[in-house]
Amino acid sequence: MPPDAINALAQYTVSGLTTGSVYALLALGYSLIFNATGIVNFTQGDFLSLGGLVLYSLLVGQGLPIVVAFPATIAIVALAGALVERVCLRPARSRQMIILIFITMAASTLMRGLMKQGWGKLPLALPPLSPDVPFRLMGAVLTPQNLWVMGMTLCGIAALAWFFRATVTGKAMRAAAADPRTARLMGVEVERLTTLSFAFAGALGALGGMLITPITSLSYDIGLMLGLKGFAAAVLGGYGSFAGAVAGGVLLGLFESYGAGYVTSAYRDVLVFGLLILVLFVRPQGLFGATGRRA
Amino acid sequence: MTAPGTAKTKGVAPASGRHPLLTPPARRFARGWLALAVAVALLPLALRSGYQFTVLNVVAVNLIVVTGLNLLMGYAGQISYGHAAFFGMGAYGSAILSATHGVDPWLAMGVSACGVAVAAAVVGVPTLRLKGNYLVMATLGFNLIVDVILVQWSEVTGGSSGFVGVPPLSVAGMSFDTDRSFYWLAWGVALLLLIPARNLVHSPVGRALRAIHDSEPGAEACGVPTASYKVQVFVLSAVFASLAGSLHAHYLGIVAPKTFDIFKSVEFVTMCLIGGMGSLWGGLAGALLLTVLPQMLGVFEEHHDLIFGAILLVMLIFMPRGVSPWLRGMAGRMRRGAGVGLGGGGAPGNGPEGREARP
Repeated sequence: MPPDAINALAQYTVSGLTTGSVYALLALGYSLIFNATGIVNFTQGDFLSLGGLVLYSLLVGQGLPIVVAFPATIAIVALAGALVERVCLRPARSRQMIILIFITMAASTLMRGLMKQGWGKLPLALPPLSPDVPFRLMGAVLTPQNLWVMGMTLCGIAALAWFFRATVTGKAMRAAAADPRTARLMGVEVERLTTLSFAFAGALGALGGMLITPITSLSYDIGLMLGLKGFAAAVLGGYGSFAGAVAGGVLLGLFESYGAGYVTSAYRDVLVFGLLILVLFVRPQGLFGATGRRA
Repeated sequence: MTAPGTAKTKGVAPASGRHPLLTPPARRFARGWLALAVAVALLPLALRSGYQFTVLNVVAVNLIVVTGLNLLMGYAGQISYGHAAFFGMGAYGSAILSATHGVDPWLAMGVSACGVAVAAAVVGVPTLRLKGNYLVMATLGFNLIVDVILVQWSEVTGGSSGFVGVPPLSVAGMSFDTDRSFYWLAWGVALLLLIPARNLVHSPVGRALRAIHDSEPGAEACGVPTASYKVQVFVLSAVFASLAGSLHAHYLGIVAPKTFDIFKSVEFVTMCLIGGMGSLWGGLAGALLLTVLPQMLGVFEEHHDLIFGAILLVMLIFMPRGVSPWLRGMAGRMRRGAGVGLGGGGAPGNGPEGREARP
C-alpha cells in the first residue's frame, strides 16, 4: 500500500473509533434501560446534549476547574435521567410498551425545548479536556481529545462492568433484568433500581456529550442524530447485551468512518442504516443478541 | 356479524351468501360517516379565511395517512416509524413524474402508489419478521435512508431546497389549485378511503389482524397466515400514505424533504396514539388535534417544542387510550338521546384498545 493510503486508513480508523466510542456509551445507556424496563428510551441522545451544555455552563459560565465540573456534570445529568423516570414514566397510567416509548419521545421533545430555552439555538464552543496539540501516530493525525474519548469510554465501560459484577446493587440490577418478579420476591427493590438505571443512562449520555462535543459542535439538538446512531449500535450488537452494545458501537463507528471515507460521504447515513437493516434481515436478534429475549 | 354491506365496498368485503342491507354496526358506521360528510359539506359556510381551509386540508391529508397507519398499528399491532417515507415517496413520485416527465397528475398519483406498494412489499417482507425494538429501528432506519436520498439526489429531487412546480390535479378542466377547491378533493378522498378501511376491519381479515395483535403464535395456530397478512396490511397502509403524499404534492405545488423526515413519521404515530389506536374515528380526532394544535402553538414560535412536548407528555401519561373512549362515550349518549351519532369505527368491547401489555 502506498503511504498515503496507509495514512488515510489510519485516519479513518481513529475517527471511527472515536465516534464509535460515543455510540458505545449511548448503546450501553439504551441497553441499561431496556434491561430495566423493556422499552427504548428516546431521551438518551438528549442526555448527551445536556451533558455537553451543562459542562459548558460550569466551565465557561461558572469558571469551575475541569476536575470539579466533569463529575458535577455527570451527577447533574444522572439526576435528570432519574427525573425522566420518576416524573414521566412512573405515573404513566398505561404499561403498554408503545405508550411508554412514546412518553420518552415526548419527554425528548420537551427536553430539547427546555435546552433551547436555556442555552439558545446557536452552537457553543466547548473547550477540549486538554490543550489541542495535534500529534502524529502511525500516519494519522490525532488530537488529545481523540485519546480522551477512547480512554474515558474504556474507563466508563470498566467501571460499569465492575459495578455489575462486584457490587450487591449491580447484582440486584442483573437479577431484576433477568426476572423482575423473582427478584422482587427475593427482596430486590425493582422500582428503585429502575430509577437508578435511568440515572446511569443519564451519566453515560453525559460522559459521551462531554467527550464528543468539543470535536463535533455543541447545541441543544446535537444528541438527536448521535442518539439514533447509538440506538442503531445497540440494535446491531443485540439489544440489551452489554458486550453487544460496545461491539455494536465500535463496529458502527468504524463502518461509518470507512464508508464515508472510501465510498461516499454524502450517503454515509444510508450506508450505516442500510448495513443495520441488512444485519437485522440475516440476524433478527442482532449480532450478539440471544434468541428468545423479551425484545 | 358477517359481511358488512356498506354501499360502495371496495372489494374487501368477503363474498357472503346472505346480504342484509346493513348490519347494526355497519349502520352505526354509516350514520357516523354521513354525519361527518354533512359536517365537511357545511363547514365551508362557517370558514372565513383561506388559512382555515389550508389547515383543514392538511388535516384531511394527515387523516388519510393515519387511517392507513391505524390499520397496521391499531389493528395488526405492528409499529412503523417509517410511514413518512412512503408519504414522501408518493409526493416525490407524483412531483417528478408530472413535472419532470409531463405525466398526467392522476396517472402520476396511481403510478407512485403502485411503486410504493412494491417498495413496501420489498421492505415489509424482511422487516415485519422483526419484533419490538428491532422493528422500531428497522422502520426508523428505512425512513432515514429515504430522507437522505431525497436530500442528496438533488439532480432529480431538487435537494434540500425542495422540488418546485408540481402541477395541480384537475377534473374536466376544473383544477384543484386553490385552498377551497382542494378542500373538496382532499376530504372527498379521505371520506372515501374510510369506507374500505372500515370494511377491512370488520371482515374476517380484520379479525385475523386483531388476532395477530393479541398473540402471533395463537393466530398462527388458528390458521391465520400471519406473515403474509402483516405484509399485506403494511402495503395497504403504505399505499394510503402514498396517495396522501401525492395529494400533498399536487396541492402545494412544492415538496421539501423536511416534510418527510422521521419526525413526520413520529407525528403520524402520535396522531394514532392520541386519537386512540384501533379506532378509525379516533384517527380523525388525532389528525385534527395534532394538526390544529401546532398551528395554534405557532403563536409561541420559540417555545413550540416546549409546549408541544409538555402537552403530549401529559396526554400520554394520563390518557394512554387517547380521546376515542371519550368519543365512544359521547356517541353512546347521543345515540341514546337523539338516535344519531358516531360509532362503530372501532370494535366496541373487543377492540385492541382495551388491551394492556403486561409490564
